[in-house]
Amino acid sequence: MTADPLRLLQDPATAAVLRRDLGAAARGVPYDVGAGLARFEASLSQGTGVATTSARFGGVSGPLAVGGLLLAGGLAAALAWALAAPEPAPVQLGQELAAAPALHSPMVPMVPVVPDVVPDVVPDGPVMPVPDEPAELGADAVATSRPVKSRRLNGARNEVSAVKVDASADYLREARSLNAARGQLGQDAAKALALAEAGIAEFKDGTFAQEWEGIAVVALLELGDESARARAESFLQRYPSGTYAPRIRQALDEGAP
Amino acid sequence: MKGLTDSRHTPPEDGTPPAPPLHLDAAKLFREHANFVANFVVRLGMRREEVDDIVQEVFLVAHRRGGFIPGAARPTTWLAEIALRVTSATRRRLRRSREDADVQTVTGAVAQTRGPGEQAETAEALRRVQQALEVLDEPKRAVFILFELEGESCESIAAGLNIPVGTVYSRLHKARKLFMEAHSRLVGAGPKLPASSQMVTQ
Repeated sequence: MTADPLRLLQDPATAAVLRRDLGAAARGVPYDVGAGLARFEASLSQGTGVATTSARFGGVSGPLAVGGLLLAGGLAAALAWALAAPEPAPVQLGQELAAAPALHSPMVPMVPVVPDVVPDVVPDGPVMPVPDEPAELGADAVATSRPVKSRRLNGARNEVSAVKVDASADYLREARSLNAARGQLGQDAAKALALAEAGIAEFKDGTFAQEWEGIAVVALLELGDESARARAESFLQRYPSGTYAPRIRQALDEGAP
Repeated sequence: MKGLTDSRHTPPEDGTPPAPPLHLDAAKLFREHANFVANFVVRLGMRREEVDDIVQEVFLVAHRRGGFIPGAARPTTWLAEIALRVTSATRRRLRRSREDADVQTVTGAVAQTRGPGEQAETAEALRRVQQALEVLDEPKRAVFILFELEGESCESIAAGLNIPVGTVYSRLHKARKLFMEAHSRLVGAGPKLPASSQMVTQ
């Protein structure tokens, strides 16, 4: 196998000005991963909730299917009632996030507004939207992004899949709680801390342990709590490249004597 | 690249609890590599307001493909291939050529951390690199960015972009020649007007 050539940046034969320019470019542009992740989670929760439950309950048949039909009827009635009722004002999750101080201003993702109320029961009718694949993407990707057809063919059995009781519900709940805590940063640090500590306790085996701890540390730093520095250093040791690491480092630097 | 894979591909061997849902890995992949993807997309010449949409799309596609599977490619080069496709599709959609590179996005980043003198110098350096990149067509540009700025190996780039490693060497060789010529011209031309005045408006 041929060895890779020496990179221009490391090659002494490269003009000094070019090496300096490449060095500057290689450092890159900061991107607000926290906000981007929140938006991505919102997309995932819309796109995967239905598919997950469908897979879980796809094999149910017989009496259970009849029960499922009855249950689905009830659900449809509940849904119709809910749709007829005045629409509740959705919690402006995106606005909460946007209101939080931006970690890096150059590239801050726009977080979509996601209603805080995600029903625990999802009707089997309309499938949650999955963003379209760009036209030129490979067939492999396209094929895996359309679960709708097989769902229709499964008929009544899939009615039971409306009941959402699997792990994705916990995931959504955790993501929602996390976003609520994150939204308090920069506004009400004590509340952010309380929500973060509650999240840490409630979601011990959750997905966002790093984010919960990060929010708690940032909140402590905002409050000027004496335990903040030790906890921040512990966080940076555990998650040196974590989502909240740059923000915590910046806060520590600003607070340094 | 431990921990970045789809849990379906790495079943627990020691009686550990069952694998978490797929999207958990997607979140982790995002956390680890969103910054890389954002920078890659910026260097490909996309504008600031388009970058986050493209980053989101890249990770959604990655998720739909079932996550990253360890192999010759690294997660970064694997994501770069998706980013290239998404970026191309976005460009076509926007009917915009790559000459619209958002130099301001790149140079604006330095305003965060440096003093005025160093900031101006770094901004000028970034402007030159970004403009020199614009002389490259997209395949050469992608290889150049991944090798020279991201430090990826040619083998990993080849695996990620699904091209022979010989093609990577060839593209890199041509890209370097074109890039250095363009950069040299830009250095000779001296400092330009502020980046914002270089922007192509629609």
